[in-house]
Amino acid sequence: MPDATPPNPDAVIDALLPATGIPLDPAWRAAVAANLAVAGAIAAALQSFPLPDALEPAAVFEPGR
Amino acid sequence: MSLESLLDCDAVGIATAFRAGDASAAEIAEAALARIAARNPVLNAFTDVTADRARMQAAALDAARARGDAVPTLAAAPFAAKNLFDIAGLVTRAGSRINRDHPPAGADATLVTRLEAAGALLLGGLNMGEYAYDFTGENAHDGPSRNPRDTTRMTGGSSGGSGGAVAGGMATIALGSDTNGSIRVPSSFCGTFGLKPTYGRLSRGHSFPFVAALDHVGPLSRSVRDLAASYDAMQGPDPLDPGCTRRAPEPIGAGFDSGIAGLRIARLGGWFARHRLAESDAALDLACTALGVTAEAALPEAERARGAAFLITMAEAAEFHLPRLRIRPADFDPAVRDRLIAGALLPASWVQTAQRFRRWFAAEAAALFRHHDILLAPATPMYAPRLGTQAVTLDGVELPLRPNIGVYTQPISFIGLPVVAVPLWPAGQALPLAVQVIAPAWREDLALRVARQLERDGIACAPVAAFGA
Repeated sequence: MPDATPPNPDAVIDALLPATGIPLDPAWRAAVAANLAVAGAIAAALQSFPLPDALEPAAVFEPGR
Repeated sequence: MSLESLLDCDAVGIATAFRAGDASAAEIAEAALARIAARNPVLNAFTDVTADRARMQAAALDAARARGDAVPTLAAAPFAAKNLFDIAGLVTRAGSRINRDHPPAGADATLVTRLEAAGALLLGGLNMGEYAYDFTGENAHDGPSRNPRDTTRMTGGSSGGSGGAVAGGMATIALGSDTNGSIRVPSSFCGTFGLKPTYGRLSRGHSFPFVAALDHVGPLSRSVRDLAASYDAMQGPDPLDPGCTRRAPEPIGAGFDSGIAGLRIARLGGWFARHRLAESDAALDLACTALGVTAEAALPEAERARGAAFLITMAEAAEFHLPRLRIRPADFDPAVRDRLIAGALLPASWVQTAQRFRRWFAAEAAALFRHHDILLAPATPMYAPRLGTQAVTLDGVELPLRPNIGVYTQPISFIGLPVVAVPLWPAGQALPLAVQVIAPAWREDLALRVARQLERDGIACAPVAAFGA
């Protein structure tokens, strides 16, 4: 399976921002895109790591269990 | 002992003096309030001072002592709370501009109630990075917390006022919160002891959230015995916090002073040996030499763990703040707002992968603790940077400073392990840098014992900074 490629931040902003209802001042866009790019790179690295199918998420997290 | 000297003692020391009749609680309260009036204009640690409340509490303590009632553990010791903890009658700012339009809190945070029940005197609320999404202690609305060791430097954050109040001698104990490092970073930069307990150990009841999956609360102090005493006073289940453990309290009492014989201690290599600067190398070497540590341990995939914490933080915080982002985006600190808006756009699968990875990483850590009882790592790569610093060079690469302050703290809080941040002084009295003493889940006692050993050896200490030096 090919590794996930981080999506283009500007494309993500254009596609998803309207669904959030957040009014974006054009002056903020570059910083939002930069943060999305960082997150995308992290996510690509994370999703390239093979996790076993049996591993469930820690949505309710109790250390030591 | 003069009242000024008494204020430089730790909380247990002040309580002992009060119990012995060396000073009244009223005298201690007035001296502490006068010190805040003198120092806070420079240090900017307090955003609210609860003078009337401190005086009433002090009068009650003096009356109880006069009646011959038992004197509680932390009697008359001044404390304060990061301003995301509710204090009845005050607006809970959480470092923000937006929240100061909220009505005043109707009740105290659970931990404030519990410290007051132990006799401590609440002096007020403390400055913090906006909504706790911060490692610097700078605040766009209230101005930066200033580091008492050098007021041109950052306190670290987000519990910046907590570090500043304790190191600056304005409180013996300060409550902080730690999602990715926000107790341990100010402890490192300001030179205080800090306890980030196991996730769920201490109640977050009536505090303003940041990231429910990762938020911890705990004390900063100037001694290990104060960490232990306040930790014991604050334990216990709380229906107000769904993440708070239902385990019975496990008070450490005097057990923190039982030495380290038999403990298997290792320093963390791998990710935790990268990004070093000379000062973080020196601080860790000091601790390892004092403790006789020669073993090195590897916690695999710590870089991915940090990344996973980063994604969960972005996404959860964005969802939490979505109503405010829709209506008042211009009223956020820009650095916080831009990350939150990005967080609102993350694909769900990224966050879910991060949550699954969290369980994998927790299991790796648990396996490592079969061979070691304590793991050591620096709390920060660097000394407190100058206020306004934007970049840092680590391993020869220039990087943005803000996110990289937390490179060593973030993977550990990600899996909820208890940590004591222990302030060391690699360059003599100039600037501190803390080492993280990391224990298995629910074993705060082990971390406190190792911290106490370093304090007893004279390697670690957190004296009040000279004011005006």
